Amino acid sequence: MKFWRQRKDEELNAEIRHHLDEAIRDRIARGETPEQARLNAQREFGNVGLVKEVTREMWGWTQLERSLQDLRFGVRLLFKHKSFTLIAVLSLALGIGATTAIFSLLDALLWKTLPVNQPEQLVSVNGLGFAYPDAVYRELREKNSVFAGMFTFHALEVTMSDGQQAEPVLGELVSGDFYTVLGVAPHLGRVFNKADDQTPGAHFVTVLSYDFWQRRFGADPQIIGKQIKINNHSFTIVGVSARDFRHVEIGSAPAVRVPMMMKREMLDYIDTTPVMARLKEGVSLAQAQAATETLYQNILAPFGANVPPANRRPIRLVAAETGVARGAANLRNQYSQSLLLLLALVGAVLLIACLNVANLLLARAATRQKEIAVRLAVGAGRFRLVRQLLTEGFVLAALGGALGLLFARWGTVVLLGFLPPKATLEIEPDGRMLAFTSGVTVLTGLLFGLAPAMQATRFDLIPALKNDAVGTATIVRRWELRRLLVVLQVALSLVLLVGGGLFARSLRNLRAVNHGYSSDQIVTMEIAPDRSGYTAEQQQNFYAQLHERVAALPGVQAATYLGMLPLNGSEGFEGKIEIPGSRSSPNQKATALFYGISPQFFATFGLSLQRGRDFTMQDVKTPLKSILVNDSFARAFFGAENPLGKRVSTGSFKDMEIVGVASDAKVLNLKETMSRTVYYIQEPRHMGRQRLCVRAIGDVAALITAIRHEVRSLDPNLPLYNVKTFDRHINESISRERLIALLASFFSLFALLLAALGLYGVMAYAVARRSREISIRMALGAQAGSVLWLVLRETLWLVLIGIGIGLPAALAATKLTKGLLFGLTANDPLTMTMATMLLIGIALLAGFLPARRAARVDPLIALRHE
Amino acid sequence: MKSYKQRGYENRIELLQGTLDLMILQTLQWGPSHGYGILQAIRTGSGEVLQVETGSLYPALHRLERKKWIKAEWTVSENNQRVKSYQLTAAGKKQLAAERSNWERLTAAMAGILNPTEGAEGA
Repeated sequence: MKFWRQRKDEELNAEIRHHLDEAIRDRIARGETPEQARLNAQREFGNVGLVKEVTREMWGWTQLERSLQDLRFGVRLLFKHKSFTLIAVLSLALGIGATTAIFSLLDALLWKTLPVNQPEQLVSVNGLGFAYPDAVYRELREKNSVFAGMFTFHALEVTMSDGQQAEPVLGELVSGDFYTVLGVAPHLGRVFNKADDQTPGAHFVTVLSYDFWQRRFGADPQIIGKQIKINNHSFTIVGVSARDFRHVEIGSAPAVRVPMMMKREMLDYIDTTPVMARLKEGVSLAQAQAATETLYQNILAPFGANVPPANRRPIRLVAAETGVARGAANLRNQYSQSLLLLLALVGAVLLIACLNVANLLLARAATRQKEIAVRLAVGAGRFRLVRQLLTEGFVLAALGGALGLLFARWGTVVLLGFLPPKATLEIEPDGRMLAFTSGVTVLTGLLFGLAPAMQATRFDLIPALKNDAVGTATIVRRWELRRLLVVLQVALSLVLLVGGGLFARSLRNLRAVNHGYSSDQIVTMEIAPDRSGYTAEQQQNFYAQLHERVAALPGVQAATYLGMLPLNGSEGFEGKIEIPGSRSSPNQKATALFYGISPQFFATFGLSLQRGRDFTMQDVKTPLKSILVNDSFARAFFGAENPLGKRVSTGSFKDMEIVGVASDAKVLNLKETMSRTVYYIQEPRHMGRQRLCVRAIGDVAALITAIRHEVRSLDPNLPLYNVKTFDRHINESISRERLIALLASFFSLFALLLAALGLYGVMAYAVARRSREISIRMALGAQAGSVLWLVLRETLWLVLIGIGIGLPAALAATKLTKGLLFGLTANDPLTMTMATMLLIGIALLAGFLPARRAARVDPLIALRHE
Repeated sequence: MKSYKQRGYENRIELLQGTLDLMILQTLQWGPSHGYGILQAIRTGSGEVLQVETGSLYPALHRLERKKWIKAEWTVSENNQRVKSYQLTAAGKKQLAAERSNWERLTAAMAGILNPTEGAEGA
């Protein structure tokens, strides 16, 4: 196309040259001198450039060609102004990258539909908030007339082994029609059908997930028919499921799936499962809900009063096209508010970056004013110029967007690192992410390109051409626009600073919480011999032997087993306390938290025994005979009395004797108020998976190696997993707070930096513009200090106006942080003050540099320059 | 949104376009010619009344060429200069006939409006 154009251009030149030559010849023939003839011919012909321009318009192509021209010109200019381009592109890329990363996480968490057949038909019964007994599920499935199919599923950890190496993975029990109702096809082999899920304990078949097949089996195409061990039972691999399909439950990605009938083999002893269904074609959610509720009540009717009240709760169908989330502490509930808030936050940062680039473009437009004026004067269309300035903006935005995509990839990795360790979300760059990024990019391009472009071309030509840089009306107008942009930047960054400050201080409060443990030097790891086929007796022997060996290791101070680590965010078990002959008033809420532990818990976790003794191996043989309580419990129920030897009852457990009192410690999470706690001893026959917790003296890493060695010498096929220190565990328990505090403070400081840059730019320009005025003032005897103040005062005004807008906005915006803050309120005055002071400080610094330059101006030099 | 000036410019172009096209096609009926030749032909043909600007002529020529009503040929003049000369195509001849009859209807109608009494007197 370029060659085509060049040829056409040459032809047009030749044509016009010939025209002029003919005209000159004619005129000479009529008796004009050659010189006269040439001038007259040219005058008659008119503006050659313009004629060419309008003629070219007839060629077609020109629209596209002009865009390319604009693009070339834009890119050339950007290369010429490297530091400008660098700042603009980097700030945009960071903004676009962060919004994209957070968007893609939110998309995976909330909005993306499941990669199954017609996901909009999927419903979850009671949003998985409730599980149903198998018999009820069967009745519902057989007798309903509104569902095309129903299925149940339940994910749980299992130990998977290929005969050589065992590893813990997430498994899922699924009913026989799980895959067929969802419409998930096999990638290899087959998926389950109804025949695979008939008789309890009879179906040793498994379907692998695509990801697991890739990771663990190197995408072996001959995998079908091979055997693997799941919880020490041999299963035949019958298929690998479709590539995109991972789960119906957000945040979980089961590696292996087995038929629901294999519950016991998977060590699942719960007889209720959550239920999902697919609506029949043409049946609405409301219709299905009404029909299912009627059916459900009919099913319950024969049982009459025997149905527990919890089970009477009406059926509520919930659309499940974007997957389901289970439990109160699920990923969706926990993270969606924080992430939406962060999205708004980085969106605001992106806006500030846009304002900044707009400001820089305006500043550049000012320096290019003469060029633009010349171009307008020689007949360039205003629209053409606007388009060209816009193109420059878009080139910037596109560069920012492209780099932003890279940042986003890196950003999602960082974000995923903040999810709870067992949650999995797969985030891959896909069409939606790309569409989001391009949308944001185009929007930013428009945002910062359009205003300066319109502004830059709307002025009087004559003063601009006269090289008079001072005092034209247009410059003043543009100047006002730039001030407005800076004020907006200041206001927005104040809002962000307040937000960042609130979250940072909230995290600090959480970190400063006294949880009661001496948390350093504790190593914890999981082990699950039950999943490797150990009987209850074998498990007991194993745990006893392991404890003995670990306790004997050098560098071990104490070791204990726990079913559940403290501060793991679970809901815990709260029981009603009855104390025979107690004098506690009846209106006092007589409850306590029950926490099952093993001997040496207090020594391992650094809790002091204030009275009495720890559990012993003797207590293990008679569980629920003796208990320990914490200080709060003792004070609440016994006041100053000695609680040792007192009896406590809860529900069916009567007369448990208090044998010791331990110092207070938080059990469920850092945010709880110190609660009354009853420590009871875990029954060994219920042990199953355990966490071995060890208090180390000295090097923790060396100790972990030694413990691994001991486990391996007891059973080389027993995986030891989730090895971490207790400090890290605590840190993970506040990962959401860390995520939001880290991002909010990082981006608010970044916003502050951008606002400072904007402010600096505007003030530097103001100083340059007023250099003559300043010189005159100084020549007339103004002191450097007063000149400094002259500039600083202007900066301060801009900042104060920004704060005037920003503070009320911050007060309104921080309402969104409800429920996310710990130990301070959303309108925390200290945070507001600190943010404002920081802003003023940085702003004055940004204003000080140009002010000092102004004060140092040598009036003679500046005036001579004029 | 459009300024008064812009609208004025468009009107002028539209008015000129049809007539200029017709004039060009008519001129080329007598044989191939180059841009300058066409300009001179129109000027002398109109008794020096019509001054066609180059800024209108060349866009028109290139537009008509694109519409395939005229075609261009590069020749070499006696001064050994490359000359782009235009000639009518078959489609151009058809177009000329159509535009001529349009023009005649228009002038007749204009005449009727501008000189209503003439017709009455003649009757």
